[in-house]
Amino acid sequence: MEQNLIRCSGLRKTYGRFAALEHVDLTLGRGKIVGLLGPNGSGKTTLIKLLCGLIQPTEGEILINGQKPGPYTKSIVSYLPDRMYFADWMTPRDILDLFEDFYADFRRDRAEAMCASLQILPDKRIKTMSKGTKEKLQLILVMSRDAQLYLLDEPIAGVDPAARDFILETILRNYNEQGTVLISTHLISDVEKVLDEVVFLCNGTVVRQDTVDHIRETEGMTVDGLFRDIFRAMPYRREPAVTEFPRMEGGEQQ
Amino acid sequence: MDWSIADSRPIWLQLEEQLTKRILSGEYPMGSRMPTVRELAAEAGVNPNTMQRALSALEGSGLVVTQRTAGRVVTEDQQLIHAARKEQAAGLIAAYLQGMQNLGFTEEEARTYLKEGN
Amino acid sequence: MTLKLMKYELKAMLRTFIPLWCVILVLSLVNRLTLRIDGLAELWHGIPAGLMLFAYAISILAAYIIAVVFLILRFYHGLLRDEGYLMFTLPVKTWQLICSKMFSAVILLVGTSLIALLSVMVLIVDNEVIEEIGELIKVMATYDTFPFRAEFIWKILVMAIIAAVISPFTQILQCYLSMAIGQLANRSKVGCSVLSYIGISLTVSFLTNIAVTIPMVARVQEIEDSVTAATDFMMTTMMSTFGTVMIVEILLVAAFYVPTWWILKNKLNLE
Repeated sequence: MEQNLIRCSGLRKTYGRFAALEHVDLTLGRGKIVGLLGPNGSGKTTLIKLLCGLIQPTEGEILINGQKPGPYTKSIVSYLPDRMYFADWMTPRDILDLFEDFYADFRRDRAEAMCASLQILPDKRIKTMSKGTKEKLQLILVMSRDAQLYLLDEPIAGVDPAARDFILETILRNYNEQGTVLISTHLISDVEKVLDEVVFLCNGTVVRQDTVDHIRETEGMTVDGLFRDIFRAMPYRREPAVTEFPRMEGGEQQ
Repeated sequence: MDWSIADSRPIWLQLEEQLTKRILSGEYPMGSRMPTVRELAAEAGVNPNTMQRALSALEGSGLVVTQRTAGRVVTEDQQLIHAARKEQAAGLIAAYLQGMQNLGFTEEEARTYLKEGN
Repeated sequence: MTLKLMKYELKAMLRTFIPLWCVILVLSLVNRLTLRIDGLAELWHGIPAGLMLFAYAISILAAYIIAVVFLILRFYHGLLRDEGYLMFTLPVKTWQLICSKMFSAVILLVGTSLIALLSVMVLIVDNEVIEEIGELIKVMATYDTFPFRAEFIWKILVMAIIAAVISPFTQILQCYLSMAIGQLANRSKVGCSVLSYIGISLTVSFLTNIAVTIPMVARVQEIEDSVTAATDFMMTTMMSTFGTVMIVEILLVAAFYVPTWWILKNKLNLE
């Protein structure tokens, strides 16, 4: 078994002329919960899509457990995209069947127990469910696998605090402790205490990788505080009006 | 008691403090089995590795001992608990005195104030 | 894995199509009864009977149109939109995803054709018709009846059958390729898919016409040389035409499949 679960070297991904990722060298170990942090548009989703094999790198290499993304890595990666991905005519039972058929590491009993605790009926059409319930169902499916790598893209964006607690607790109670969880988010204060390690992305490059406690020890501030420090954007300040058009006043009086 | 990770010090340190308080207050009684790391971590909403580090620190101070059969249990050493209580108390007193001093009381005045209870 | 994928694909398709197929069969049965039972067809100036026949014809047409729309939507929604996030992260290969969709779509088309055929038989077949068909086969089996050489017929028949079997695959793959090209665009993916479909169709018909015409033109000289062998000439021309069509169909399968596979593997562009 490879020592590092994820190894990216010289990774670059461009869309037309726009470089979404540039010179990304990243190594992640096992048994960790890692935050992939960065403002919107910093390349978080692109990196996650590359890791789960939805898109191909323009340059560079990705190895997951020593293998390039493909059917093998997909069998050990559990991916939660930032959108609903099931056909809405399906029922929870259909989608559980599908996961059981394709993923050897899927634990159906666990998924059923979680569905039952949320009163998600196995034969109710997904179409008729609320957005919140659909999101929870998708999280249940993803976390019911004993995967090596969980890729969670913005799992807590746009949810209320109660749902956020449910999501984080579901992750903590169900992930495979030998595996690694990579959570992308820009809501750092909400996830900071569940993370071992953080990776800061800025304009498509990794600007810092460190453990949460090490940041707190050495910087004397929370990761959220550090994030705000690194990514502080100067708001546009209007220059005090100078007498650019001194003649105007005279002109208006006419 | 709710878990709170409020300030910017390392999280494991804050967890260690709160676990200590729970042991001293009797929420985890002497000789009782501690919940598993995973259970504690999920309850506190923190990373299991961080909780593990906090528990290891408690083992270092002797408040928690690992037994081969029962797993992690709270110490039954009365003296150790007592000493830890006194240590916490000293911290509270120091904080009280500091707070009173900030309000402009002398140490003597602060002590009398505390005794008289108003 | 391809079979597992097909299982879900067929499940998604058949939940719509089995009811539709049943409607066709029921309507053909109803029409058979109205046609056979004396007086029923003339009831109320034949309006109900006419309506039933009309409904039957429409249901067959509708089944085909819905089948085509369905196989396009299954590919577009199932792979190129949100569901693609699930399908492309399953531990399967890209060719398995395409083939599972393609074979399921062929099953859908063939199934619809069989149901249509079956319903026509329900509608018209009785003892008299069976006898007539039997006689036709007898006539065809005796080669002497044909004014030209029999081996041509069989060769042409085999080539036509091969071309007919491959043809639904090329039709489906052409749709798939158009959508694969269309999804490369960042805006109006549907519009780009339609445009690429038209573009591919024009290119293909242009090239096919050239491929079919060239051997014919090359043989024009022969007809002037020997007018007596006109029948032979016609037959060999037909043979070469069918042969060309068959080869073109086979080439098209590859020409549509390979780029589709490459685009979905390397240039997937989910929103």
